[in-house]
Amino acid sequence: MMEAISPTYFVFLSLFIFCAGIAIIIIKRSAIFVLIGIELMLNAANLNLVYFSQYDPGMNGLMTSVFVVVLAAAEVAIALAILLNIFKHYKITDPDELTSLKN
Amino acid sequence: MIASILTYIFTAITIAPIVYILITKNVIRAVFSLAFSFLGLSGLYVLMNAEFMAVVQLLIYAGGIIVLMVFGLMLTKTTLNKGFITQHRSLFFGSLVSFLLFISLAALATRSGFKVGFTEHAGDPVAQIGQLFLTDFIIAFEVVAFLLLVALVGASYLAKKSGE
Amino acid sequence: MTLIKTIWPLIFILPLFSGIIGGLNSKQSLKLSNFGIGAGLLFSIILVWLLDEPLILEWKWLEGVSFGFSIDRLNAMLVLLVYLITLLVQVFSITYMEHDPDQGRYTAKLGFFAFSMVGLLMSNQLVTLFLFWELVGMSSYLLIGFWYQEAARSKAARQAFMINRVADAFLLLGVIQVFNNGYATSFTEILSSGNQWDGFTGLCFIIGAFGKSAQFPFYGWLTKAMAGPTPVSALIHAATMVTAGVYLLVRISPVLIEWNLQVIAIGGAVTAFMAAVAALTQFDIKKVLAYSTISQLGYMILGIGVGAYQASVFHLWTHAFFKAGLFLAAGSVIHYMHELDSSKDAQDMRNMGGLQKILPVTFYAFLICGLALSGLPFLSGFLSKEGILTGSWLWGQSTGNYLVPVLAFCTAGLTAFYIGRQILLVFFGSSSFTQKIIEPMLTIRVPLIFLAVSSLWFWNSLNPINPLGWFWNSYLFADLGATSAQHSILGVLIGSIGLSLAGLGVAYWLYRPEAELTQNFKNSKEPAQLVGKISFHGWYIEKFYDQIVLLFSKIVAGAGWFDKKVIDRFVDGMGVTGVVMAKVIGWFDQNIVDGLVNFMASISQLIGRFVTSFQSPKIQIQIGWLLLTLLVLLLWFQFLT
Repeated sequence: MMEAISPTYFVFLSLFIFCAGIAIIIIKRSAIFVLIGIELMLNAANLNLVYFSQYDPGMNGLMTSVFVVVLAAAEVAIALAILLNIFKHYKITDPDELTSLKN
Repeated sequence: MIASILTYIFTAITIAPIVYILITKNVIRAVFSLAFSFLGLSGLYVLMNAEFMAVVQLLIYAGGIIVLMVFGLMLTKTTLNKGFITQHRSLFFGSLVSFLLFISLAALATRSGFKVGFTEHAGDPVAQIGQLFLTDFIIAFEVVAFLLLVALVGASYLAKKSGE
Repeated sequence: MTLIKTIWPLIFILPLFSGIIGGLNSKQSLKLSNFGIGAGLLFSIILVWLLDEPLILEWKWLEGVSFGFSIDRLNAMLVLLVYLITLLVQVFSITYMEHDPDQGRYTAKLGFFAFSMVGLLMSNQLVTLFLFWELVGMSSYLLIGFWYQEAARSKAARQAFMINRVADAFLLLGVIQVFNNGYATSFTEILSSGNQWDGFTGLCFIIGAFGKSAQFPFYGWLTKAMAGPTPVSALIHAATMVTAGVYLLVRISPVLIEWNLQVIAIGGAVTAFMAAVAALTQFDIKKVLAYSTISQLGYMILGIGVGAYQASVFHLWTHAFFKAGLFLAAGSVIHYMHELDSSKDAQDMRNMGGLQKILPVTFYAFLICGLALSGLPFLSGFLSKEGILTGSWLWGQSTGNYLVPVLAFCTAGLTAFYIGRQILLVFFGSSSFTQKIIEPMLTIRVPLIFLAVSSLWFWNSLNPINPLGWFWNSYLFADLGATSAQHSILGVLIGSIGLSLAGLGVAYWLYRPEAELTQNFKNSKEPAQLVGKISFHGWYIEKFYDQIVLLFSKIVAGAGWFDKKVIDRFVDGMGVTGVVMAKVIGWFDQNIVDGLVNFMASISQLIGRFVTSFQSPKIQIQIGWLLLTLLVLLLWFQFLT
């Protein structure tokens, strides 16, 4: 189905998403934004995996990307729970203002 | 031909929200545009013969993770009446790093010159995935299931403990 | 046999398990861990019985470096010895340590020691040997400092450890030399290749072995090591660990060149003599035994140097039994003294005397083991010492160097004297204790009786005066070929017996219960005349160590002086010149270059701000730098290599 478009196109697309994720992680002053950036980076990796796995009869890439999605879900749940705790204690969401984890 | 056009459309749907996230300072808008971006991605997955992945993307990301993030946002709303607006910092540095990384990785990708031979998958991909889960990937499958369970229980415990 | 071939590595895992199990349960730990050590003992007996060819286990670590263990007849026998003594010491400790709250830690440390000692004995590769060599030193340190709450004891542990470390550095150097020069790196290959080492490599190994076996000039650490519990001294600092150096030298002696062997012979003889002299005047019951251990180790080392290494191994074997017996008996005395009156120093012989009636089993054990040490016929010590003396005499005849045999014979006489003195002072004479306490439990008696009986001659050779009749000789050295003395010499035989009897006789004459010296002994002070002082302070070896430390600190201070007086002056001078220059340039600067400088300053400020952000505590910036580094590495590997 995809004969017309070269693989480099998708590699560039996923590169763009990845680098946008990095930029978001570095620039924004909110932990939620950092999470968004991480999700974007994971999705960039997924896009690559899924694209190349359509040429692989074993579908290893596709399987890996399913696991990536599951791990991302677990990671977001834990991260938000920690964020919630931190917020309750310190009333901050900026990761840079957080300097200690003990009370 | 139609596939190519659809690819470009979905690429645009994916990229435009990401650019918006980069620009905006409003967290809640960023989260919702992230959902749009994921929609575009799942469209791309459909075009790549990965319908299962597309559905997973919609269900877990657009459905689950986005909702989770919105909840997180609501619960961590600062009392200082700042709303969901945050600030940017080290704008120059961050852009520089990511831009340089993009340029150099792109250079690498161009140099490597991918060539792919096209192979059609025989049979139903979803059925194949199901079989793979229970044969080759069984250990990873079980481990990740356990991990997810532990993570979710742990998350709810962490969130609850602070409430007491 | 095939089963043994598969499971033999278990033999050095067992003590570790027993230590861990003992460490977990601190109430019953010593009793529990006896099962582990007992299993190991049984296992090693089976191994000694069934072993016909060396078993080797090896795996690669890095390119050209591998870990390896092997077991042949020599180390199977020594492993058996280690297990046997460990078991006896643990049984003894059940009573000795009964009031100590930290029995779990004690057992864990003992198990760790047994593990590392067995590992050392079974190491085939030199790297593995070095590893376990260090582990043994470490566990020795842990056990010396067992009562770490007392500052003096933990300090003694540190000192002993550091002295060992100096020698270990040389051993490491030797191992590195072996790798650099491309010699065979495992004992089996060393033996089969038959290449001689160069003298420097050999010397490094010799110094390493001298350190662990407490030879001159390293023997100071062994007296420090007496700060540990007495059963530990019996196990580590008399029977097993200190013989590691002897074992190493026996293993490598075929590849050492002539002058290396001479160094070994002379070093051993000098140490044997010096330590025997130092043992003459000590008041501490354990210190006498410590110096005696050093002296006997000197004998073993000497035996290797003169080529009589069979006799050395024989002496190692017999010495382990009678010296462990002596230490355990001393432990029993100390235990009793402590129970009786904890206000006095329980180790000081001036507080003892007349213990014969109160501790009969201890007395007979001490007597038999002590006479074995002094070298009377019908006891095991005589047989093995005779072999070494014969070897040294033959060596003297063939090389014309009579220093070694003369020192060895002097030591024989001195040994008999100081052990006779100790027996008389501790067990004979008037007793200052009136109450009659029945000797402690079975757990103290059984090891003592066992060790005393083992010191009789018939366990080793049916003929009580033939040092070559050792039962193990053909078992151990059949494939090596006999190289040491083929026959005993009548003159040496008579001389050795005569010197032992003379030493004991002099001791009896000087220290018999009614003699003047004995009467005054209880109030005696440190000796005042020169010879006595040298002996009492162990040839001032600790002063010597202190001087070395002082020397180093002086070197550092000298460097400081140089820095202050010379370099600082120079810098000051440069500074003055700089000021003058600056004044001249300042004018130029102010009037002409200023604009340019301001421009440069703003640029550097910009760069400074930029560079400051490297050190940001902010986590996001750090991620940025991380990625940038990744980028640089990526580009480097892709485009520049």
